[in-house]
Amino acid sequence: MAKVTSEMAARDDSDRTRAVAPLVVAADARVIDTTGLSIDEVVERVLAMANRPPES
Amino acid sequence: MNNRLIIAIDGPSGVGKGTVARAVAAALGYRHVDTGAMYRGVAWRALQDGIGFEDEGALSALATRIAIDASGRVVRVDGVDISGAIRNPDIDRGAARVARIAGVRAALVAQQRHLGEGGGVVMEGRDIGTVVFPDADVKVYLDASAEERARRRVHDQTHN
Repeated sequence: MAKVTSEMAARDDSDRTRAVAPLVVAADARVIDTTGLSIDEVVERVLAMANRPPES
Repeated sequence: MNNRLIIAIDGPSGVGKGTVARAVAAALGYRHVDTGAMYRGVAWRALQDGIGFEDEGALSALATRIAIDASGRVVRVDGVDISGAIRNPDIDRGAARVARIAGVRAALVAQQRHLGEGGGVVMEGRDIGTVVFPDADVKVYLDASAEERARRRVHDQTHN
């Protein structure tokens, strides 16, 4: 588990700091913190957004 | 309801992007595209062909040349099913390396835009809402605590 956590942290760091297309949150993206949510709950939220996309 | 939306799902590893994106696509009757698997496909083929991950020119040419299909239940490179072959630590590292190369990204982003033309697609990755489809109809960024992501990763090794 500790190994997975450290490998994932390394990949996150690589993604966020690379010169080309770093992992960043789009200014107009909806952030969903899935900690403690079931897959179904996350899917429901995305589907709700798809049924009524925010005005851009 | 507009049936031709482009839905972008971004986020780090272990947040359940793949599971969520597949379920959303199935519910809407949309196509699902796993862009992380495309970078894995380039890394896999590079290992097969003996191309070093430092050879940016050869890797960019490779990404332009090969046909990667990551829009179905299996991932194919030039017709070969590599679904099982791209979920291991060697490919994890290789995909991170090739994803840093501008020429590789340009080639794959062009393919991804082509796949999303006309909408009706749920595309998951790390730069969909920012680079591939900055005008996507729906943009979601999934996140979770580091502990939760590591736990999910351990429980389901197919997660990207």
